Amino acid sequence: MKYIVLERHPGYVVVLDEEGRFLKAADRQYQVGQQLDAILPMRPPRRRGRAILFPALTAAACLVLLALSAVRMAQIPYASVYMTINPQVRIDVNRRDTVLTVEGTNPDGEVLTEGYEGRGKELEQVMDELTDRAVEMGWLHPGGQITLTLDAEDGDWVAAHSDSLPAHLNEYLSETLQVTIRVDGGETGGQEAAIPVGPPPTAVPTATPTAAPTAVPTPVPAGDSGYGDSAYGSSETQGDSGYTAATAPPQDSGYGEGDSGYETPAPPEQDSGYDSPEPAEDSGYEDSAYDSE
Amino acid sequence: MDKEHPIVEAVFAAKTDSARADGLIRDCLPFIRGQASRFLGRPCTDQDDEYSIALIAFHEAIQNYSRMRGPFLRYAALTIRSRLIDHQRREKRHRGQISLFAPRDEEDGRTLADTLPEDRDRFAEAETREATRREIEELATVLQRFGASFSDIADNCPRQQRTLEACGQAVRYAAAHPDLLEELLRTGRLPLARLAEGSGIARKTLERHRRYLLAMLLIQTNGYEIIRGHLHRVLKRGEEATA
Repeated sequence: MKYIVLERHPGYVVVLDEEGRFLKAADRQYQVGQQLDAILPMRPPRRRGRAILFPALTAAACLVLLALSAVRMAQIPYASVYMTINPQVRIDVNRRDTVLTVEGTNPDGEVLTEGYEGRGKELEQVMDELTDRAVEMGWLHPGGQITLTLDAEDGDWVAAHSDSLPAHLNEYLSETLQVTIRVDGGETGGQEAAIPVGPPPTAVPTATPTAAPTAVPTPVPAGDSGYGDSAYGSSETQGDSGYTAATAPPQDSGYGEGDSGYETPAPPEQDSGYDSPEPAEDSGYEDSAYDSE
Repeated sequence: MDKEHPIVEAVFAAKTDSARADGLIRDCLPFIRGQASRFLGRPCTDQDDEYSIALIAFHEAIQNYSRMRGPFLRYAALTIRSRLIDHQRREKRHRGQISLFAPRDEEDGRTLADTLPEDRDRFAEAETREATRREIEELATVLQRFGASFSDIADNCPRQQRTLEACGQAVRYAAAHPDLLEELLRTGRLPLARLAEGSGIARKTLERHRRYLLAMLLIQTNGYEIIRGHLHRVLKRGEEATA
């Protein structure tokens, strides 16, 4: 390779090689126009040294990690909405209210969600479409009720959606039919807000499942027809009868240790005593509740 | 923050401005010579290879310096020293051979080279060199009108073989279409669009080596026969391709 010296500088010369490269090289007292057979070229500047490359790589790696975690975050269920008409479906959404899964949680719900793809849609859109399907399949009639149960770790999310979701659904359905929409806050919120839709007529079932069964679990001698002889009386052989006998000393005090007292007095005929006018000593348990039914 | 040594500012200015780089080198000549002398263990003269290597190493140090590398002069000293060590290792393989220019042990002071038959025509050589120098000066003047120097062009020159060949292709296309060169001289602008279209090289590649192409295209205009002769390989490749 031959070189022509083009220019001299204090520290170097610029030469032109036969392939058209302009190079800087060490100046060994050359003259402009001189032809050279060999040069000592200057090393080209390192544009991206390790010093720059390393932070750049680190930053790139961080970015990738961030992006990955963002993608993963989008796939993590953040809240669930249970929508109950009669079919019950669970709609899992991520932080941005994008639906991840729609799943029927009872047999009717499975029918409702069969062939339905809600993934990636907005929560409200999915609720609308599911309601439409419910109407089509004949589960939701005018005057029906939709219960929304919101379940999320984040109380704020529940609070925010317990208003907006029924409002949206009401608005969406108001064109076609009137239904009642209930919201309850699931495990965390616990708030049960009954939100009746505009015109009143269909407010029926809201009040139903209220306080009713609170006092139930007492196998007590409520002493009434409800418990009638039949059940107790028929079993002649059993010591149950003794149970009633035991009631004679009325207060439940005997109840605690009762078992012992259970066996001992076993005269089988005492049933009659069961029916017999229980003195109001049981008063602790309000007969009235049962009577009402 | 501590006040920076004024030389650092000069170094950063010299990175992009070859005239200021020359000035900085000129200012630092005693330092550079000192480094070379220290390495040699004796006073260093202008004729020593080590001196020119130290100079080019200093220039490299300017180009590669960043604040992360510490004080500039220390960095430059290190660069010079390692470059000289490299040179010394390279030269090792010639050790034990007699230099043509070493004086023979006769008293007349003639060297070995002087005893060899002279087959070069020194006069013709000097004449060619003079003609070449005139061409180069002419080219430098034209380049100056375009606001470029050979040093700038060396900085803008393609480093990868592939890019160099791509640019060569564009140059050959221009050489085959004199109207392009006329347009360049008339308007003072590189006809990049036509060049890209005609040569089939990506415009981005040409843009990136704009100044290099300017020089190469100017060489294709009239009056640079010797330089063109020197570059005949670049131009002949085109003839081979078209043939």
